[in-house]
Amino acid sequence: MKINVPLVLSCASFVTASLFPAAGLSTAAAKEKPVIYSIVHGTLSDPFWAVYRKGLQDAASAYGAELRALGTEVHSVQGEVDLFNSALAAKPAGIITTIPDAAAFQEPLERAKNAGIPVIAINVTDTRPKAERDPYLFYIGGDEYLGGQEAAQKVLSVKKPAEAACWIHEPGHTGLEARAKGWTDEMQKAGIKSDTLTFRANNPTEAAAALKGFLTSHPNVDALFAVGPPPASVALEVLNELGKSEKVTLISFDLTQEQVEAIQNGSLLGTIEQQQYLQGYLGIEFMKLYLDHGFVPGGSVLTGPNLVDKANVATVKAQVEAGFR
Amino acid sequence: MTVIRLVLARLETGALLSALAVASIFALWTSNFLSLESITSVLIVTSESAILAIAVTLLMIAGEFDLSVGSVLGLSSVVVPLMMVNYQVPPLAAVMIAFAIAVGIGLLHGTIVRGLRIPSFIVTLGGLLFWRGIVFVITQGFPVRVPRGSGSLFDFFSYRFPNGFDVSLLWLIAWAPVFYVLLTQTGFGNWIYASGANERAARAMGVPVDRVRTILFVFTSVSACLAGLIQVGRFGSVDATRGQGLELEVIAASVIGGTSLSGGVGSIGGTILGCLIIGMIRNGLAIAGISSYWYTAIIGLLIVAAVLVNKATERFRKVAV
Repeated sequence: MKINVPLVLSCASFVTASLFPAAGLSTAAAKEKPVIYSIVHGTLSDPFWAVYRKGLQDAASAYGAELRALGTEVHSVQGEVDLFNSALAAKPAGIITTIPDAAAFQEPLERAKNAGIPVIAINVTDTRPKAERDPYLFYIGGDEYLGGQEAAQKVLSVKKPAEAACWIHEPGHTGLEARAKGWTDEMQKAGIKSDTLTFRANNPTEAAAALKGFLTSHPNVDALFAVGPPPASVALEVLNELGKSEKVTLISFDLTQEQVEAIQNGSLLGTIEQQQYLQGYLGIEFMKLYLDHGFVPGGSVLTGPNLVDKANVATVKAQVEAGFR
Repeated sequence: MTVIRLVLARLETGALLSALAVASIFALWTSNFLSLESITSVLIVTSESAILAIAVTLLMIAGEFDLSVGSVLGLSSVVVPLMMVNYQVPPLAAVMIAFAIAVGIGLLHGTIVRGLRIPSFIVTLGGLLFWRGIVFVITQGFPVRVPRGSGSLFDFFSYRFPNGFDVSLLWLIAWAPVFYVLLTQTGFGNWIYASGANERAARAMGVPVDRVRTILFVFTSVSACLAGLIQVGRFGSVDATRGQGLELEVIAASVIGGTSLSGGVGSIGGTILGCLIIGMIRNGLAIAGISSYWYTAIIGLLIVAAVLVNKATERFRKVAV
């Protein structure tokens, strides 16, 4: 078969150009608006970030900002730092970013500071004292450690588990580790041993098999904390399949429609919400206020933890369906 | 006409044209793509992946794959700060131990492939999972930080100057010519090509195919270790997912650079250009504010396009030979 090289290259250029015509036009049309980048470590398979993004988009429309929302394809600190460096090169008006690894972000955040580009941390941040921490303006998000503690306290309010477990689906994510630590510390205070599971949940079939194996080999475990929606979804299915939904009390973090239904039917005790819509919305709003007037709040702006259980799930459900929670 | 034929006969031509096309598209599309900050960002990403991709290319030319490089990178990166923190091992000794582990892993992979006659795809797929599992076991999922005060050694691997350029580029500038000379100017280079082009004929001519491939498995592991140490220097910490997915990215860079998946064909220059193209696409999409989810789709398109271009220019290479 003969292949016409120029034709192939022309076709490739055409395909590339036609994939993103809107972006080029919007860049030209929105010249007056401040360009604000949002960079997160989230993955497509986690519905959490879709709600966050809606918050960003709503605020960008309300406050007249040009939003450029980026995320890594898989959870990767290195990938997120590379995106941050690229965002710096675009010389935006401001950047809103998660900081899942404070050491890895130190150098790029210092470059941003030196370049005069303000940065607001959202969702997960540098937990060191202010004098030691990375240079960013302030933090908007939940308190992960408190969230883990609240999950444990909720379980302890209904029973004293014989043995507990906590499932981190993105090992290495400092925010998830803090949730797990809050849970484990609180359980230890109550004299209950808690194991930490670290298998990934992006392949639900494999994750389900691993969880089944764990629950079979640890028959005394009767309380499980899933630190996000992906492991919560898998755990709900596994406990149902094993007929352990009543024996093992399941509590989770964050909120999806599946978790709302599970709270309603009693297979999930509750979930700790960090109201990520607010993280997106307030991220843009505070950045715009900083750019226009130089406002900086006195400390972190906490959007969580907030417990959703049977008592308030009906109110929350409508908001979940609308994509706000 | 002859000049054009000679240019088309070069394996790097397709990758060079693609690199120019990608650079032109992003330069026209975004206003900051050619800024110093942007160029240095692209070069950082390119240097790290190219150091690894070069060794992977040599192995692919010899007719084998190494899918474990991302996990070996993760393991090498984790071992160094972990030994320094938990066992107070001096930084230089920790680095030497990491390289020794990498050599051992490469030898192990090569020996299993050679001794048990198991395809390298399977052996290194097992390595990908096994070594990643070891990383999770020894870190328990927690990130490991390089202790304070040990920066000078790690600055040797990666340090970003105020103008944005990083020491990792110097590593690539030192690394690439060594492998280029090895591949194109030595008998060992001929053995690499011969092993991948026609294994049976190579053996009949006395080429020590198994030894060549084992050495190349060691090269890939050592390169993964070096790339890992560069990242340790750059980030000052290592998380348990470090290097995950990198194996496919460097194979993609190799293929975009003209390396054949069936062995016997490939070049160092083409692979570096492949890494540069991937770096430019990642950076350009981010600057334009396009979701990086597009990145995966575009790399997929590029791989197929690269194979088409290579097929189209194959006849010129045959004529030139």
